Amino acid sequence: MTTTRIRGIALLLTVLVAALGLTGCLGSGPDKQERARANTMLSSALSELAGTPAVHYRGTPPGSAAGTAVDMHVTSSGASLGTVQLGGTHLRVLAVDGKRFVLADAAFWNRHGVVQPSLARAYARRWVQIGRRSIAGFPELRTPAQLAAWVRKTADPDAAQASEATVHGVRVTRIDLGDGAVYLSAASPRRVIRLQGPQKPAGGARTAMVLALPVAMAASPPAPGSGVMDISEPDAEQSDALFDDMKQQVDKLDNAVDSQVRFTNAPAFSCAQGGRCTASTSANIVTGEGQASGTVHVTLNASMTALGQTLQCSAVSTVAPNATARLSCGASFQLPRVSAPVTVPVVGRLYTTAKANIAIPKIKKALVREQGRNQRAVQRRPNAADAPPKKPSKKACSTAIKLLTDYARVYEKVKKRPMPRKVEEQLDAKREAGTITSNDLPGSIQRNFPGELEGYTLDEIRALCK
Amino acid sequence: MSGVFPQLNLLPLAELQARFRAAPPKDPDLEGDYQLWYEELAVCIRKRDADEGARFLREEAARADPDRLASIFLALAWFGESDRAHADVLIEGLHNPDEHVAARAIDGLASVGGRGITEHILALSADPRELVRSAVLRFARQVLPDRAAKLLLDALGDPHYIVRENAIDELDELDYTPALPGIQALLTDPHPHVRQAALTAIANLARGT
Repeated sequence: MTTTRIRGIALLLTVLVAALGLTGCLGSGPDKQERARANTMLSSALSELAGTPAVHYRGTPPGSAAGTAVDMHVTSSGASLGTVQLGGTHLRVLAVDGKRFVLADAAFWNRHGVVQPSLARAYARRWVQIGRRSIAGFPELRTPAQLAAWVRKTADPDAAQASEATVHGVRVTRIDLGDGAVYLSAASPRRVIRLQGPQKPAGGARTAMVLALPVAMAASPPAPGSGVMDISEPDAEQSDALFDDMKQQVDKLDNAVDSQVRFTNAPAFSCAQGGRCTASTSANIVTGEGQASGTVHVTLNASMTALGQTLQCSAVSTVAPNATARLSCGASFQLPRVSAPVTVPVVGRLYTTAKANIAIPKIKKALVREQGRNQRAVQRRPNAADAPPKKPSKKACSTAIKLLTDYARVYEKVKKRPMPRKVEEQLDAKREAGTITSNDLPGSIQRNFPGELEGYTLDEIRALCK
Repeated sequence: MSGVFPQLNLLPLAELQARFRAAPPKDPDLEGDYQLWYEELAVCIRKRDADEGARFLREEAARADPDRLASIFLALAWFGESDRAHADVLIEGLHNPDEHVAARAIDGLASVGGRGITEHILALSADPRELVRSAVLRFARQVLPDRAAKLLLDALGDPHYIVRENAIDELDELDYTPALPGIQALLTDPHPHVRQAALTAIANLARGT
């Protein structure tokens, strides 16, 4: 009738990001010019993605385990909120301050090592902090910059090939990367709007590169080829709503428990003659990742039933990590008068939990600040890709073109020294290709760039300004 | 995000701050332009966390060398907020002996609200340092466009090519077509950058006539 907390939770996280399977370029493939064009488009879109204040991931992360789907918002700081579907179970997920929390039903916790039904039910009513490797198949919540860097790192530039495609009825550009693909908006500035994993299982000489990390302890291996994940940017209103929702959820972390804290001994209870029952525990606290210091707030929860009566008691103690917690609480049953001693069976449900160590005011303050920054950033970003951009002003056009073509001269007139040759050469290459954007320029030049044309390539600006 | 040093875009704020405090990298490609390194770092810090970044940079200003200080001024003015705390740091930089720092302070004040000290800044148009005189031209065009034309036209005859070049660019930005004859005269300027600036400005201004 006693329990410890999560026993043997052995979970591993899958990665939200999924897989671009790529192959080496043998024999026929895109020609050099075609590859260069595709890589340029991809690179520009990844730069855009890296600078995005928040993204909305929706779909099946390619390369993840069968039955996995996500609907998550992730901000540039890593704060996240949304749902993850794992094998038919919908989890609400919150990540703030570098910590992850899950809201799931009791059945989920029971399947993931919480053997005591009362504890699983207790978990089901609140946010539960988990570790990075706690739940098999759980997606990694990559920030936009991390996702862009990851794709950049894993994409094989030799395989890149651009073609036209349609996503949700809208014409887009597909950059095929062998066994995977990245879809970009057709209009500028180009945005990454979809990641698609390998279309067929890896085998033979073709090495599929999986965007998702392998699921080390998942029940089923990743299903190659199944992953399509859409990526979009929340607008200002959606972004505000996201932060408001996150702040509301953070308030609810007040009663969150930390599933990573383990107790070496299970609580027990005993009853004395007369009906007084006492629950107690004396257990060492073994903390999870990221908590070697500070304090752990431990709660002993007891529910005891006899003769149709259910009594509850609880005790709270604050101890140091890896110290011993000693807690006890009691309750008295009202027993009927009897002429001779009788034995009354008592059923006890006991469990211990550790309160998640959360600095709610600090987290909320950080979210408020990020919300403000996010608003400014969203407002500064170019129009959404599928909306035709407004005709820019003549002055904006001439200034933008001057800065994107005459950057070396402009740099020197402000700094009285020539731009370093390597930097100039990199910019020259992009200028010649027509793909240079304001994001490529040094900050000293970028600060004067007209906001309405930020992120557009030189070719696109020339076309817009005709 | 830095387009020049994309590796900075992936670093957490604390690491960016640590690098800002550290010595610049020994990268020959920088050609000793450490100000560029610190500028990109400072802007990344500001973009990563506008408020915390600004607080950090204002604190660093007290002990920063000229390269770092110029970069701090660039980053503090990045979002163009009319912020008194930013303005105070920038005003302190106006009389820095390093011309890069003083010029960047003027540029920053144009963005964050230097309206209370406009006359003080305009007086720096007689400064012996060409970067400072150039920055005053940029300030005048942004903050006092009605009074800028005369200052800019006068600067077309400045002895230093950087000032002439800045004057041309600012007249172009001001869309001041009466300056066309004066700018055309600089198509034969001894310095190629002045000639290039003149060519661009004439093309832009001529489109508006």
